[in-house]
Amino acid sequence: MAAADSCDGISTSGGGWEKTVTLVSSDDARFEVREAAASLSQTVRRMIRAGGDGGIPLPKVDARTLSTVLEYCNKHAAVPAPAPESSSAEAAAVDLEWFDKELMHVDLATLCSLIRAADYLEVAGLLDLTCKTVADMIKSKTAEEIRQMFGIQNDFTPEEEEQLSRENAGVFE
Amino acid sequence: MDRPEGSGSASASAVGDIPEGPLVEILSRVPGKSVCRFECVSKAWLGLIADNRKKLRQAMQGLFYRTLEYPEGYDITAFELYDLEYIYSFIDLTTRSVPLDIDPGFSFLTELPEIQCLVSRNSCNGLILFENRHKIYSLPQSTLGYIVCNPTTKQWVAVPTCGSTASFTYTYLAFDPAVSSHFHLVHFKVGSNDRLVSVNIYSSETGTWSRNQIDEQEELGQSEGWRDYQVRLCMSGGVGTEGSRCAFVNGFLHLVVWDSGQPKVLAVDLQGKARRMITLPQVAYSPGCYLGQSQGLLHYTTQGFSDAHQERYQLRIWVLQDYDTQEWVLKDTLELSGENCIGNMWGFFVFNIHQDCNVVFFTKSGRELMSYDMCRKEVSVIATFEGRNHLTDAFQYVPYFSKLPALTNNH
Repeated sequence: MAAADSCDGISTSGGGWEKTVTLVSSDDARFEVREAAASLSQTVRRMIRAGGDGGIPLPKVDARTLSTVLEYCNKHAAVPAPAPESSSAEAAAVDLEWFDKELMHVDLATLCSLIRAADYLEVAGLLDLTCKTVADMIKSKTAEEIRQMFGIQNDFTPEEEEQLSRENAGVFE
Repeated sequence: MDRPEGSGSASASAVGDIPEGPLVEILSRVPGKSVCRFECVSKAWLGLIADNRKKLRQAMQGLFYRTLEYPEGYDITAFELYDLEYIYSFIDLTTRSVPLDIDPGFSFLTELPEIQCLVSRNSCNGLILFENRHKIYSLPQSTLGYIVCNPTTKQWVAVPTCGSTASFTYTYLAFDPAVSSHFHLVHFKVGSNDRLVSVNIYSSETGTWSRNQIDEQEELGQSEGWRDYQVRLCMSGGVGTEGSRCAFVNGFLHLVVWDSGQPKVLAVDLQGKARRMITLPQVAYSPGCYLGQSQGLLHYTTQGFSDAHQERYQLRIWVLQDYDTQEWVLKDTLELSGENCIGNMWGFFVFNIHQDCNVVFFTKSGRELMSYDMCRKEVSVIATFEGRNHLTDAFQYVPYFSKLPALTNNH
């Protein structure tokens, strides 16, 4: 990751390049991240402002999930903001889109963990990306398939279920 | 939120455990028909969907239709002498036991003193565009203004006309709540030979009409797609329907136009720029062609003779399967002669295509509102019209429950 491009002479802890922060996952793994990347998380940004030593504890996110979230943040925070209609802006957008697509090649359980993490950490871009991915996965599924995918128990009585599907059937299929 | 029970380890139970906020975000990105189906997943999902219906897309619930009663001894050559009036009605196409709370005749609009003749133009994702006219038929066109309304909330707003109405104009509504809570009107004016002379855009955000975008883009040297293409709006002759049909897909308004003697689909963005010219399948033009949107894809229907003796004719339904490669696929063909006995081909007219299902709605000579279900291969009569009553338009009702700041009047 090119980290040399945006240091405003702030005191640093990462070898003189750029200010970094340490995030601590629920399973006590420590991640040193550029502050610009970590700040894509509104939750982390608030905790940085609040101050404190010894790293920022994130008790709701495990190391595996956090590393994917940070991969997303590093990539998205690394993109400089060139003139909006320049060709490099277009290339960067295409590159980001491709990165996002690749990042979403994971199973449903991982996606759900990412959604919970993005929701808790308030990473708006990642939450949007993951929700869109899950929406595409489920939109053609039946109610029963949804229950199986998400491990949801059917708590309707057979009569209730029959009435619901009758009311929802519509004149056309 | 529903939590799976008895599914063992923490990692297994974690799958279904999406917090309510993100789950609503996910559901807001699936089609209305899927939302409807997902009500049956569990009580928690049913409750969540009911609580968040303002944020979720809805399935099509029914059709509004427009009829015209011709007076006895109606003389079409003297049409300007008559004070004709459209009547609006509604057909519920759901199987719900509770009737929909709908004002089928739009009385919340027709009772307003400023409304003279309400002419439906198009519906788009829950909103409906009407033209307020001095008379239904008159030359030149007597447009007094436009009304955009939401039949679900009975909110509406009046939009002034765009400059002079001395020539024929065609105005379309574009609205997608997933992108913006504001709507746009795209206004085309045609001169002699149906040649396009101006394109203006109204934005509910600014409350103003733009300058003629053809002039504007020529000044900027960006007129591609307009006069270069010699675009003419094609008039699809139908029962009382005026102008080309439109479909709002992928953020662009699409309409059938003539380009160098060929019918094509023009995609216009909401700044009034021509963005794309989509070729149509060969032999694809017929007087009653229809362009619409179903399941997010452009659909195009044509009717034509299916034999050399011109005795049999059929409806062909095409779908633009791949928007980027412009690949049209013939989705279905309906024989209109013989057993389906639709009558004269020239009275046959497609009004609409179901946004969620493979169903087209059409009429024969304005006497019947019919549907053709491509999955069941079934033609059904939805309504019949007696006496001097004629069906002249049918458009979809898709509920949109949110109150929009752009629609400033509440019933």
